[in-house]
Amino acid sequence: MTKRLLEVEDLRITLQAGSGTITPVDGVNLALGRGEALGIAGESGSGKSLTLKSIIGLLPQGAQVEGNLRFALGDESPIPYTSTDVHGRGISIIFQEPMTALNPTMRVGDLIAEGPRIHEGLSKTAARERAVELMRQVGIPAPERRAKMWPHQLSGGLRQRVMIATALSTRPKLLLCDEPTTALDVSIQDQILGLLQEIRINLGMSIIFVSHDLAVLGELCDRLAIMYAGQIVETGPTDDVFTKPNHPYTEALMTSVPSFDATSVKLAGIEGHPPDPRSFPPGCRFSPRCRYAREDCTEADFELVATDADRSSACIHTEVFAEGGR
Amino acid sequence: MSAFLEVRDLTVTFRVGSALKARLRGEPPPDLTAVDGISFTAERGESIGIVGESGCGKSTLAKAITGLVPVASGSLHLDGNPLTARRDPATMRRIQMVFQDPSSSLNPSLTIERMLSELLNVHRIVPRDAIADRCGELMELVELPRSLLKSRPGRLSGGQRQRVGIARALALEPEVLIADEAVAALDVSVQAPVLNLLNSLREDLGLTLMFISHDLAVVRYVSDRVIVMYLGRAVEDRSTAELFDDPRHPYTRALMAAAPKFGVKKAPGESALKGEPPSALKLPSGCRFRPRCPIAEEICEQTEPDLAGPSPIQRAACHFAWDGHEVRS
Amino acid sequence: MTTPAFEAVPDVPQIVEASLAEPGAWRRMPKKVWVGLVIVALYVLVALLAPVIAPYDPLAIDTANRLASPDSAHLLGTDELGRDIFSRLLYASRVDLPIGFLGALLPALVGTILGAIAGFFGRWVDTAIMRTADVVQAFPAYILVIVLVFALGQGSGSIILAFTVLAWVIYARIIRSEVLRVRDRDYVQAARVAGLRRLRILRVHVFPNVINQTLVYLPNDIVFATLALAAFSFLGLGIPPPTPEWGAMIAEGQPFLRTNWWFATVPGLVIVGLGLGLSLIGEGLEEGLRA
Repeated sequence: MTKRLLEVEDLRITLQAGSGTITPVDGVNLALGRGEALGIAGESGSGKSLTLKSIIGLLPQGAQVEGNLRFALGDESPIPYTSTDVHGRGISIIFQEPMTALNPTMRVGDLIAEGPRIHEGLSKTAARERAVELMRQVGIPAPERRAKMWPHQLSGGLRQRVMIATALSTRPKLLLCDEPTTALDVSIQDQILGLLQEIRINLGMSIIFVSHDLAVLGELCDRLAIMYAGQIVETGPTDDVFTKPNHPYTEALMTSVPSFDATSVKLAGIEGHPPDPRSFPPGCRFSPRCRYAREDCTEADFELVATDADRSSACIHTEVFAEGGR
Repeated sequence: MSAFLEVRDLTVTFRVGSALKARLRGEPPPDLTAVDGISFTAERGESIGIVGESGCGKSTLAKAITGLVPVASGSLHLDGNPLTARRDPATMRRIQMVFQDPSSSLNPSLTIERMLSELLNVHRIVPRDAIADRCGELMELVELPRSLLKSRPGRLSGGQRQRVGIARALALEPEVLIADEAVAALDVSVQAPVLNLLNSLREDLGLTLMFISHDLAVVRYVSDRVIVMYLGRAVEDRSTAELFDDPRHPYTRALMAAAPKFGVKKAPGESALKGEPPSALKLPSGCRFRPRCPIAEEICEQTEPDLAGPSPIQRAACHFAWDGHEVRS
Repeated sequence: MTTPAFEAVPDVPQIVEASLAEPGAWRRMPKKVWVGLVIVALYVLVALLAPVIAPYDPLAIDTANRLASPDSAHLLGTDELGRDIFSRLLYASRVDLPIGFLGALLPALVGTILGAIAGFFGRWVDTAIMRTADVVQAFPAYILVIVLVFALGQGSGSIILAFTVLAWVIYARIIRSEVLRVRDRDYVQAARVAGLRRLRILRVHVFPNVINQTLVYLPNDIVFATLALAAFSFLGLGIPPPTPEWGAMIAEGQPFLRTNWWFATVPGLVIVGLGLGLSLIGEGLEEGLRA
């Protein structure tokens, strides 16, 4: 593996919910190499978004974080950091809904120029030039004119490009993507994914991309981490995971989506629905919905075990599942 | 012979700016044409998918058919009877709708039972003393436990709410069921069972289903026939199998190329669809897809192509769609 | 199929619209609601029992014993005319509470209904109602009260009427904007598709989902009405003497602040206490319904 950029060790996030506390992220381990694109897949309530936000210190108020986060700001190996170390230099984030993520009272040129002005001490004109340059880089047509517009005057696709330009303005080494294409039309989604791919290759940036859509992750990511109920249940290279999933949940997810090309085979789907963080089931948290579940599944301790050289699964019955599976 | 559901030249417009200001400037009133002259027919029991990106008018089309938005011109017929702007409750009942957002599609202050029994009562679907039983049957129909009848929507999961939304529509025993992005807001693992439910209900109850979605793969799963919409117009109307095997309109092809798929190695950003759709207020001359079309030629700038083809369910609105075929409008 | 009772919460706990009609909704209310309710209940109890607990006739003049200091005979002393201040305070609640409550409830009722109608039906109905609201709001409130009191005579009736004429506007605006928010919700659309009549949709599918805002605002408005009554009485526009009323009592006590400070201060504190109780209810309801 290439040199490490980010390490997340035993991440645990607790939140106040009503009268009690919940643990929507419960023991997550991640490692990201330089220039690597990692996809985190999961459904609502899986904790994928919180995991991502904890990396850059953007958790809701009252959230408590345990565990170790390490990041390599320079060329050395990853060291522990606080969010202020990486804000505006090392790590940037883009969100799902650019309309709420962009300050509506600032012109888009000024929004993009803000980072370079603060963190690189660029003059007003230099920062503005840089903003226009960035806008050109992310494929915004007529950047000089658009730099003077307000966020609401742009279409959803262009707003997403502005957000990417803002994220790139501080030359990050790691770009966190929180479902940035979910609110977009397929044709625009395709363009944005293409843009991210291009940026990643040209700038040698690492990406963590969070999405509920496995097919989207498949286009962009080298490796996948599948999250369910606050835990990572499977990791591995994208192609390997797609050809032979090692966890029943991954397999079930893949057979839940109608396929584009196949004629209608009846979709399996998954019984029930994702569990509530207020009451995760005991043992393997997927066991109540798992078609391979055995009796001992409800008592299994959670452990992500290596199955191949660079793959791992949290299923205690991978052998059986592999036989009975596809 | 007339079809079961017949939509002819349906146009829906919305006023977007000040009519007074426009009149002072001597311009026509600023109307946005959300649905622009759509015609199609559906047979009883048929399942039609309507697919397109946001702003293509697919939801407005649905609302026009249910009577939620007024029709500017064109006509709607159900079973030979015209559907007008003012419909009586008995007519409204025949076309029901399932909405997209499970968090806002159910009245938060009513229990499921009260919600269903209100409809059964108002429309006198069953005698008063049979209402409770019927509510239970409806829950079974959408594969929910009867015990949920006493709950309010706040207690239900997204998938359960969507099923209740279907039960609400079915309570009125409609003949046409319109599902507007009915699974778009659901988790992937919950989508499939809801789609399966729609498929089986359609078969068991003989419903005519109109399934509206931005997702081609989902549409393929539930529809016999697909209408692709772009900027208020139908650009292609084909049987599902044919459409997916051999799309004729460049927009349909581009949509298919843009969608990420499993198992197919595809680099992102390679779809032919460049740029974004123009505003419906400033349509280009000729074919409205022309500015983004990879195969546009001079004729596309001058004439807008009709939705035409060899048969009523083999139609595409492109000058080059049927090269080498006999075309009837 | 088994169905867990809760739905999957997204990554951050979500905000659900709560309804007071839901069983258990009251149990989820924060403590301050109950504290506030206890305080207000005490005031109501005192008002009901005033004739029993009051040691003297609130109107009985005793010129021999004017401006007495508190002692065992007169817990809070006597006023300028020798009337027992404690008894007058108790009796005053029989005037202030009904006017405060009615002076808030009536405008709430009128405003909520008008606001709902304006928001739901839109078009000229909306224009007519909301322009009327604009006119009322643009009119100087005190002048309106003076005119009404002049025309109808002093007394609780004209005060309540004046409050209703003035305060419905706020409710109408709150409810109208809520109705506009709810009107395009899918469940209202669904009710229309189901062929339900418009009034029925308004009553069953819109109204119950907007009424929370009225409930949250109402306690604060009762405080406001009570204070306004006190202010009007202080200015001589409210309840005519000799009927005991808190605001009027403050006005009566004002000249004697140096010598008999409790005379004006205690009625003031009594009003503050009621205001505190009602504010706690309002705040608590807001928190409880939001959570």
